[in-house]
Amino acid sequence: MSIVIDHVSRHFETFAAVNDLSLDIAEGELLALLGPSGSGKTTLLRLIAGLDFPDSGRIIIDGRDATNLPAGERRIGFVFQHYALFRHMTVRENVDFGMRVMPSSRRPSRSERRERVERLLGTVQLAGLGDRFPAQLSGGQRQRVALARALAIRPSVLLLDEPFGALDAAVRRDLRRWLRQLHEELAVTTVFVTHDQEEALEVADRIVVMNAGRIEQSGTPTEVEARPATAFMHSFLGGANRFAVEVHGGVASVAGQPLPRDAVTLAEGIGDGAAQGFVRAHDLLPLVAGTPGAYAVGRLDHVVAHGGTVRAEFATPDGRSVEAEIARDEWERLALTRGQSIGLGIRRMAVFPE
Amino acid sequence: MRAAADTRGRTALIALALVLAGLTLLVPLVLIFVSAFADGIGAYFGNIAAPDTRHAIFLTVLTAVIVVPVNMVFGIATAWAVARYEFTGRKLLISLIEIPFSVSPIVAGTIYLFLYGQQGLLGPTLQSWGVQIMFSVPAIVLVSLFVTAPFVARELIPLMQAQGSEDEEAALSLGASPWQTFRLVTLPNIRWALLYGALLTNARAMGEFGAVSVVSGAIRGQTNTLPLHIELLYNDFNIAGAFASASILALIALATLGIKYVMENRAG
Repeated sequence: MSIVIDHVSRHFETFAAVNDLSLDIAEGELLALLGPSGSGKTTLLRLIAGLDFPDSGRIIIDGRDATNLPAGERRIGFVFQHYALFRHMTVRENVDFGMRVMPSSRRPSRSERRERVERLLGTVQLAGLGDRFPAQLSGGQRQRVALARALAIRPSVLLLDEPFGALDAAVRRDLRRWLRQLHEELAVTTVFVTHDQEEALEVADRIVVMNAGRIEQSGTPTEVEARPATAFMHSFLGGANRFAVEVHGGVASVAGQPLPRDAVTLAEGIGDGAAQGFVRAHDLLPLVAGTPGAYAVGRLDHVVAHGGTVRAEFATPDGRSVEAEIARDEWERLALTRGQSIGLGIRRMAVFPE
Repeated sequence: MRAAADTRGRTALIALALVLAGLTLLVPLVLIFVSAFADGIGAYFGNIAAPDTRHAIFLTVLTAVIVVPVNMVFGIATAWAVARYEFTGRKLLISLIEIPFSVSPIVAGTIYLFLYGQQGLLGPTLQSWGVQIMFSVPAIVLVSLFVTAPFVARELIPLMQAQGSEDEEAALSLGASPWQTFRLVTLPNIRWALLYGALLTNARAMGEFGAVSVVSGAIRGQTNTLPLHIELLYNDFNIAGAFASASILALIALATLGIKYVMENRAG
């Protein structure tokens, strides 16, 4: 169901974990809250769940003001980062818990409860493990028990806190794909928190990037990936190289050399003076010796081949490290060896105030 | 050479530990039972069946039956407050809980005497309402509550802090009421530590001498608990009787150790 977050703030002592934040989440959406640790994404998730309450603002779930509604009355399935499975109960009892505590007027019959538990265990691929205790399961299995337990109350919204955080890389990849499929099957509005942009890009329909309690940028994975809107977004998404830039009359210069206008995106309302420019790894071009258009010089430090591309790290004379990403065959044509210096060109740069 | 010296050193240390433990712990324990049965089994049971002794056993059990549940509730409430919430005075509360451990039981008894005694702060007022606390059963229960207050809380606080509140939040988000959450999630999570704390509380409540001796008045057949009764019998030169009573406390202690051993294995 739809969720409207309307100018919500939550302070811890003097620190604003969520700061005047507004966000609409559409019915059936699969949304990622992405941000560095301390950006307020988990606090926001807990506010939606009713595990914490805002100091100001409103939270409306499916048209109903849920701001002060306790967690148990929101019909929200919450999957905790460390799963929070009840260790003294079997897998089956864990999944059954939400139905067991329902008031008898709403509680399904014993046989229906049993059937629903078995069906859910099938859905999360844990059929046959119902009699195990959480301690006897692997991390990935525990994660899926937690999910089944949350789904057992037929939640209108599913909230997941760092759902893949505690798992190893291979399990994580499988679970991501599986979560997407599950979301397509169940079509339940799903919000998950992550600090891993790759995870957010791969799983979510829409990504909301948070920083310091506010929304930094929101959009589809492609939009966010292709057009980072702020300086924070550039540094957070990674693979961006930062250059000191001088802006004069709408023209940006690096190390005294002006860049062509069509290679530069200037932040709105930026004035003349010192600024910072971001060049993403695939927009930084190692140039064949003698080719004009170099804005910096780099000494090759380290190379990583990854599929059809190569990531190369260069050390600049001022002691910084920059990263370029180019196609493998192009890289081979350059025939660089470690320690060799080369000119670096800039294909595209985004410029923001200092 | 070196290895041989190490082995010899180790053997010597173990032997020393065993001899010391035997002399200071085992011999007295054996002696209790030897002395208790010195006049024969019949005399032993005769001593235990003496009315004053039976009353002392009854009073000791009564005290434990009141003190243990009250301090379990107190311990859970305190541990909950300290482990789950941040509030001003939290650190102070943690220190306050420790007071009964750092204060000599005699001092604890004396404090209660000053509070509720005839010349005490509250004594005269209570007396005018017809309430007599000193030298009666309520005094024994009150000081026992005081000296055993920390046991349950001290077991629960570190455990509840380590477990965190995610399990309870999970239960709440699944629609459980606070009481259901406590009964179905919190209590099972802390049950072994809770029982362990209760066991320690029980052992101390039954064995407490100092604080109780100050406030009870040690009136035979009325306000005499087992530990006080042992002293009275001993002062009467009824050695076999004193040791017969002492053997009951020793048995309780042994049973406590046994249960504790089993529980530590289960909890661990």
